[in-house]
Amino acid sequence: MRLKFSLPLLVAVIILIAALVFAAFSLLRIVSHDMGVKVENFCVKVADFWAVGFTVKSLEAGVYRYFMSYNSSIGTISYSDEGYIEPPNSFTYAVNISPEPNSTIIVVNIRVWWGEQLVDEVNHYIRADDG
Amino acid sequence: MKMHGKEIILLIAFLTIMIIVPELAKASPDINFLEGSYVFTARSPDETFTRTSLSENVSEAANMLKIADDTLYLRRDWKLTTAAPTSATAATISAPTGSSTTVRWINETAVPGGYNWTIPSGSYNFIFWMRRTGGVFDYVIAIVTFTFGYVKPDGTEISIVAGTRSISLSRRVTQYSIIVSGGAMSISPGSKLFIEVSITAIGTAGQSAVFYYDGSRQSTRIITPPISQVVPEFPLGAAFLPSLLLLTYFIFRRGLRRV
Repeated sequence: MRLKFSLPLLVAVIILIAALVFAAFSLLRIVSHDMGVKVENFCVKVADFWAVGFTVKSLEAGVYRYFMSYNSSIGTISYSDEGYIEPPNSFTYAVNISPEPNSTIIVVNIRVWWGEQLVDEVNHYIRADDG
Repeated sequence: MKMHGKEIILLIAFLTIMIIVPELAKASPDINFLEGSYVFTARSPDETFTRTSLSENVSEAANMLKIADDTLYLRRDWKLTTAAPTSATAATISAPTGSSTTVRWINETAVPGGYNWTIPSGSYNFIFWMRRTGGVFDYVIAIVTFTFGYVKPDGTEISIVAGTRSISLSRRVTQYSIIVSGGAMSISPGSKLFIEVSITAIGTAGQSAVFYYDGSRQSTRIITPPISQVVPEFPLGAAFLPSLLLLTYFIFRRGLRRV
C-alpha cells in the first residue's frame, strides 16, 4: 500500500500531531503536579489574634484527616477531625490563638493525612511579643 | 491518498468550534442569584468594570454579581436560616466541664435542581456568645470548634471551613468570634448547608460553659462570603470531540481506499 500525501492531508496531520502534543503535555502536567494532594499552610495575624491552619485540596475526591495541637497556660489543647472533599473544592481549617503577654512561645503542630498517608506536618511558632 | 477541500474545511471548522464553543459557554449571561444585595454594572469597552472575585466556575464575563456577604443565623429546632432571631430570650447549650458537646444546625433550603451555589474565596466569621457558671474562684475554659459545610442528597458531608478557639470564659455573657479564610466553592444541586459546633469544657468540677444562640441580643451567626446561585456551565466542547474523532476516521479511511 502506497500513501500519497497531499497538502490538505499534510495540514490535517500536522494539526492532529500538534493536538496530540498538547494533550501529552497536559497529561504530563496533571500527572506531575496536580494529581497529588496539596496542603497550603498559613500563619497570619488578624486583629489581636493569630490564624494558624491549612488548606487541603486535591483533583481527586478523598478523605482527609487532621490533627492540631498547641501549648497553653492550661496545658496542651488539641483538636482532630476528618472529612471528605471533592474537586475543585477545598477545605480550610484555622485555629485562632491570642498569645497572652509574657507567656512562652506557642508551638502549633498541625498534621494532615490523605487517606492513611501523612502528607503534611508543620510547626508554627508564635511569640507573645508578636501577639 | 487525497483529501478534498471540503473535508479539510470541515476538519478545521470542527477544531475551531471545539476551541470557541467552550469560550462562548463561559460568556453566557445566564446567571441567577440568591436573595441579597447585588450590583449591576455595565461592561465598559475597556473591560474595566466593578466586580468581586467570584469563583472560576462563575462566568468570567458575568456582569451582575452579588456583592454582600451572607449571614446565616443559628435558630431553635436546629435550623440555620437567613432570618435574624427576634426572641428576647436566647436559647442555650450547657457543656459541663470534663465533657464535649456537639450540635448541628441545617439550612432547610436545598440548592435547587439545575443550579449550583458558588461561594468565592473569603472569610467566614462565626460569631457567638458564651459565659461560664460558678463563682469568682471557679474557672471554665471552652474549646469551641465550628465546621461549616454542606450535606449532599446522598448524605455525604462536605466541609468547607472549620475553626477552633479556646476561651477562658467570664461569668458575664460575652461575644466571641472565630475567623477562617476559605477557598472558592461550588455546591451541587440538592445540597443543604450546615454548621456544626463542638464545645469542650475544662475547669472547676461541677461548672459548665454556656453557649447562647437564637436571641435578639445573642444572635449567634456565621457570616460567609456572598453565596450566588448560578447555572452550571455545560462542557459543550466535549460534545464535539466524538464528532471530530469520527470525521478524522472517515477522512483517513476514505483516503486509504483511493490509493
